[in-house]
Amino acid sequence: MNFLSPSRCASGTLASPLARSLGRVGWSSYLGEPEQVRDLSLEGVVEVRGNASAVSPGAGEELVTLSPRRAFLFTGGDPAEVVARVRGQGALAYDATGALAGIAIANERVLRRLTDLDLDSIPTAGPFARVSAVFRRGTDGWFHVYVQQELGHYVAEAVLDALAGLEQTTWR
Amino acid sequence: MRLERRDGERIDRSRAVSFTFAGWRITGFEGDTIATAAFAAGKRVFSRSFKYHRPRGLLCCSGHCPNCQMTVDGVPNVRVCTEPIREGAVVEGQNVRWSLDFDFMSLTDKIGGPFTPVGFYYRTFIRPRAAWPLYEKFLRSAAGLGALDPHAGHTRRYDTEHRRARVLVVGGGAAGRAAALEAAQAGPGVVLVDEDPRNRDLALPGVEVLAPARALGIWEGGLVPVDADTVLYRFRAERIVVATGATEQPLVFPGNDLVGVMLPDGVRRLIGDYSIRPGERAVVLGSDDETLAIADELMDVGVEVEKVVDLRDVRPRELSAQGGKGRVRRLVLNGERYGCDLLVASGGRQPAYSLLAQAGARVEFDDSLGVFVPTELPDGVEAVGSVTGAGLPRIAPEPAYEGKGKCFVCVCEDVTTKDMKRAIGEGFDSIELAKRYTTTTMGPCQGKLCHLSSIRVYAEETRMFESAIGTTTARPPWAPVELGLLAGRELTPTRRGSIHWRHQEAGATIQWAGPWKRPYAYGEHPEDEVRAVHESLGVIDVSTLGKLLVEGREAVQLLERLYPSRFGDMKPGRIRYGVLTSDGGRIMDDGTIARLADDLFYVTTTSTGADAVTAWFQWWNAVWAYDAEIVNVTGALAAVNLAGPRAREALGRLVEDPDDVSAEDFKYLDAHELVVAGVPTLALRIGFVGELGYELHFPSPAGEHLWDALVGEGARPFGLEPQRVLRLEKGHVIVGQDTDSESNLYSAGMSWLPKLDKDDFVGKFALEHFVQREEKEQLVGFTMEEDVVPAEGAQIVVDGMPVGRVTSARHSEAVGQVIGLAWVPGERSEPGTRVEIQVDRLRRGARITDGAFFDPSGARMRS
Amino acid sequence: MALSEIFFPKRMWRPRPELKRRYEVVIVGGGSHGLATAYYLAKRHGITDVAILEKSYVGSGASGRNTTIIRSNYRTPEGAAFYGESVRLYEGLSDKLDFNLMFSQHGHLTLAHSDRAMITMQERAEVNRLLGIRSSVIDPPRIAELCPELDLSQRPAYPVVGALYHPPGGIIRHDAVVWGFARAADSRGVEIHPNTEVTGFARSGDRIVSVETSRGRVECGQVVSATAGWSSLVGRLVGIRLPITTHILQAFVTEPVKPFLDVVLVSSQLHVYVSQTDRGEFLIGAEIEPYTTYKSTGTLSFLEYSAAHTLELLPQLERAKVLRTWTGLCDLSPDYSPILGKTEIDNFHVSTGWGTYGFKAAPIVGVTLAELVASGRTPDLIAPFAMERFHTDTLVSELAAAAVSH
Ligand SMILES: Cc1cc2nc3c(=O)[nH]c(=O)nc-3n(C[C@H](O)[C@H](O)[C@H](O)COP(=O)(O)OP(=O)(O)OC[C@H]3O[C@@H](n4cnc5c(N)ncnc54)[C@H](O)[C@@H]3O)c2cc1C
Ligand code: FES
Repeated sequence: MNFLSPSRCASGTLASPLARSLGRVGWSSYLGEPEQVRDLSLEGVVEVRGNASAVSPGAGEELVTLSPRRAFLFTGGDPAEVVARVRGQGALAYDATGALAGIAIANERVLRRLTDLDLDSIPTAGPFARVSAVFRRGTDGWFHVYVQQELGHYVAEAVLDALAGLEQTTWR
Repeated sequence: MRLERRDGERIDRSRAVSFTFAGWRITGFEGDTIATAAFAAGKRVFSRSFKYHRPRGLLCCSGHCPNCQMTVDGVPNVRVCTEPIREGAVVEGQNVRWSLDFDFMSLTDKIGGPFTPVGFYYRTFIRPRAAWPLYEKFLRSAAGLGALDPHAGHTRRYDTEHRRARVLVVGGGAAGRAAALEAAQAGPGVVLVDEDPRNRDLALPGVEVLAPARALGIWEGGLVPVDADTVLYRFRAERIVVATGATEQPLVFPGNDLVGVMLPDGVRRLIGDYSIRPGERAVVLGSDDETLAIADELMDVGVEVEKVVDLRDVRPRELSAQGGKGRVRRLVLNGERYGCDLLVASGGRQPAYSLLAQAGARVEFDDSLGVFVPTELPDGVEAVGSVTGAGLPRIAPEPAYEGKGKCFVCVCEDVTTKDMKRAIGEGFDSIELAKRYTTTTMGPCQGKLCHLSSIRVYAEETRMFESAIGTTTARPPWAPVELGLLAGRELTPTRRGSIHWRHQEAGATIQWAGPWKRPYAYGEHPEDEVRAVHESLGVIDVSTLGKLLVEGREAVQLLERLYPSRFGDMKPGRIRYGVLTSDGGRIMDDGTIARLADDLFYVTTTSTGADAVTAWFQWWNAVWAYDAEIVNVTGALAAVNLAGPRAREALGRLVEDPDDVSAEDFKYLDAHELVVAGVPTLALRIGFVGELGYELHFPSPAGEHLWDALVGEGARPFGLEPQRVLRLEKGHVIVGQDTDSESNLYSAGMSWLPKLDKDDFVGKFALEHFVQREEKEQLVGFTMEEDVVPAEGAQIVVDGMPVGRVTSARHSEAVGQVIGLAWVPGERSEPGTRVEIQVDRLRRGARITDGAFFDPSGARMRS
Repeated sequence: MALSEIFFPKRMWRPRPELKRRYEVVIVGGGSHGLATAYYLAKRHGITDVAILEKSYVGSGASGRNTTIIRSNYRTPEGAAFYGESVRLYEGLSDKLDFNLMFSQHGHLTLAHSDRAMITMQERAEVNRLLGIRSSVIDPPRIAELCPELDLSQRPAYPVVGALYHPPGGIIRHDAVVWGFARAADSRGVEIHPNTEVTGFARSGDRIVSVETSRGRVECGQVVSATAGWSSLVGRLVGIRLPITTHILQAFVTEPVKPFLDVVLVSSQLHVYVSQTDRGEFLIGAEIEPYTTYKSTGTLSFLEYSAAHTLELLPQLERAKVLRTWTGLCDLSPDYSPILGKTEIDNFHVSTGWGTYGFKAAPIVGVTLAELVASGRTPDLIAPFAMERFHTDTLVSELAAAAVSH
């Protein structure tokens, strides 16, 4: 199933659809100071199915288990290789790198404006800006939010809009 | 009117603020509300009443009653008693013809009385029928309070914020504060909300105070929305403590709505917070110590107190307020007159239990207190303070007093005791009916000021006990809330494929297609795009197709049980068309199923169907417990359909070995993994648009790259509209457009598809039944006799009656005719049959056809 | 003459302290349908030995909670003909009942936000026109003439691309309909018994012989159930299963403002509909909740979604304030058409399957059920809505017509 793996594409063929679309709505201005959001879309993700407990994450990897038969493995390595490794461990695995758009968000209140999730329950799955998302905390404490790739642009706009709202709200 | 500077006043006398009030320029101080500044400047009339247009003045001064609703800077129905003063604000009266002080419509009060009793509109304007629209216009314009600005758009930004709390206390009175402080001792996570702007700076150690902010209700799962003006906080709390206190109730006596009749709390606010002397000469009416104590407070600020009536001692035969020009001038008590310009009257306090009732508490009448109290609180919700009835004095006054003049039970809706009695006499003899007929409790205060009185008056009239009558249902929200705040930010989830921006750059018209944004066409002439596909080469972005991987030892079994088709006999590398049917045998969705390996299938769905089909698959898989996994890879993969006579040649140039795509090695309905322009691709040879074509599925981040490569090979981008024409030429059905929720495989002309000899599959029971009967309707193709395109939705007509409908119709250049698909009665579905279609009020002839209009043998797509 | 009642109030209906031992016809449910049936039984067929048994007060069910949209531009020929007749009856009903029902026919616009929706509109318009119902597809400039307040710009997420315009559509005062029918039925001798709950039926074979109520037993000739959201419960008491699920539907009103919106706006894309009542309130509703329940508790999310969607259509309402919200029960049939008439029990007839759209049918239900009860024959107009259709699979599908179908 190489056709699922961006990492199997020739170099120069890839672009994060999210970053591309954000170019149009002012992403760059938020990449300045203070840094508020970051694009995670090209970072490796593997969807694990079947016996998720059989999977042992490697160094620098995080396994977010959504159900006994479903998990996401976030990896810094080549996801195509991780797929092979996980399959070797007795579970099914699929390269989900292209499937998810990821945004890292610094400000907790942005999260609170877009999800009613209990933030203490992260890592978990839940709603975000009215769509389904997977949440985890980065090592830097930022919130990493992943949604279906095709919703990435919409969600990024919602995040930027929430940031704008926080800047504007004088109340409290 | 302003008193000397006093301790505790909330105004900043060093900062003057000016605004206009009904045309007058008024200056108040920072800290004032619009109403207090106007009152201090001598204004007494703030509104005109709903029905009789009687002048109304300040009553509660707490933002509950309807009396001070005005239009502020174009926003109608603002309660100016709590609206902070703003420099330059324009404040206008509403529901008046002429001015607040002189209103033509108040004629209804003076002479209309006998003609306009409660429910008069049900009895009048019935005949002649033709005149009703006119009468109605008049009735309509008389109703309603302020006016909306028809040109206003979005003027404010509203946000929503989700919050969690360990303990949420609603109400910042003594009981609420104590509860909050106590909770804070046990740790953090305590929040107190209070609607009173005076609590803005309230500081309680360990407690987060939100004020002014108003809890609107206790909704599903203990959800408490809090209105903080432009932010809606949606609180979820482990414990909710309701400390909303008890609301002062107007006393019910004739003239009780005159300007100058006020509730004690309102008077206290004017004096204590705004240092205003509320009148010159006052009369105090009450039946509890708290109310009567106001006499001393009035005297302290120089108001002459003419008379204090303790209604526990006096049982008046007659008690009324009388006035002139709508203002109170005197109290008449058993024939005695007491002059006054301020009449402070209270009927006692009623616990403000609405939040609790909405949360599921029961409300019952407490005989000893004479009020309704909440009981049986739901889990996680507590009540403290006077909302429980604790510490309240017994309600002692009569339900209503007799005397001359209109005696209002409900000031919001102008409902009098006479109206209530009349309603009961007319047979509206349940409290809910009486409420609906008189509209008592249905005004802007939501019955906060009249619910108790209504029930008491009703009880007296029907000689029933309040406890037997019960309450009317509490209907949230607790206080009126702006639509904008509830709406919050506009969030419409929108799906876009990874090639989206290329289409935008190419100038495509973008359109909604289900939850997706898609190119409709790339220019003004979709027919050029059609021609390109027929004659040369086109490419369309089909990333929106739902895409699922089904993998596992029992993947075949799962699919064979989901679809009416067979898959077990397919060789890896082959593709089959599939239609999903519901339990009732109806068509749900369609797509292709490619077998990639013995235990691995790649399934596509319609663009709108991906989520529903995934859920459907998962649900059934959970029921049957097959060893198979279903993975939705819709967004992971971009997909394009490269179609046209030149497709093979163009693709051949982008793959490593052109032989990989040769006619022999890559046949119609084959699925191969290829590397196209450096991108690993799953290529499916299928022909939705009727020409030689390859559907390429590949990692979405490579979307633009591969698209560019194909366009570089001369493929002309085409959009949804040309695709609709192309597929129609082939007679290919679009599920959801050509079929609806009742269509089945037999009526839709796909009887070859179901394999009824298979073991059970979803919908088999129904299909077995369908196969034996004559279908009432059939989906067929047709060609028009003339060159007119019937609207999609046009009717097939027999004897003037609709008997069928057109679902798709287009002019086809390739066929040289107008072609379409339609549902027709079974007996008219034979090819060659002539039918008539209604087009723009004319009947036009059409011929039923069989199958595809273009290249019926399929030679082109199989080539 | 109603006008005299302004000065000399009369009782609308008589108190009924006692139940008789037997009635020729027992009607379960004192909503618009039960009352209309009683009225037409008395008026057109002279059958007055009729009791209406209502567990609470008249109009306490959906009849007193609905959003009062009256229209006849349905998708199926059967539906359009049926509702068309009902609207015609409504037009003359204030006069017949001598009670002003405040039927305000300012037109009804079903908005389309996509070309797929336009196909459905077109289809409805064509069917309607062939049946003599005024209905047409109009474009944005024409919409702007009829409803200048509507946001027709490209700003909303789903811009309006067209509409189905139905001039006779409008709103009515729901309580007036209930009370008007009740008064007219009562004056012809029908007995209305509020606070009388039906708790069981005694059967002898395929016939009901008596009805158990919270106030004792009554014998009966024929029984009509007009219990809408409670239909399947009443069916169970009789011992039959109805293909009905009960859902809640929510609605809200705002504080009243001066006349702003004349037409009724419905958007199925946005799942919202808006009208302004004669009292000046905006009356706003949405789609049924997807879960089945008899528990009438509203949700905040309903308010939030409906508010957001209303502002997509009418941004000027941003600062209009929601005054109260409520819920009602809706009895949904599989094909979104009613189930009317005979059942497998000989003398038990039903009016059910009204979902979110039954109020507009009250007069025609009354006329046809009364005829059925009086003559034993199913009138042609309601033959397509027989319960049998679920056995013969001859559904009358309004499903595809609109998600919001009031
Ligand atoms: C919020 C909402 C909005 C709606 N909007 C519209 C609209 O805009 N247009 C439209 O046409 N329709 C609308 N409807 C639908 C419409 O209101 C109903 O279909 C219609 O009112 C049904 O009338 P009915 O007389 O059959 O039922 P109901 O009015 O519900 O009457 C049934 C009665 O039966 C009684 N009952 C039940 N069980 C028993 C028992 N065991 N014994 C005795 N009595 C019993 C109930 O108390 C009730 O009074 C809406 C519905 C709701 C809930
Ligand atoms: S006083 Fe406000 S609703 Fe009656």
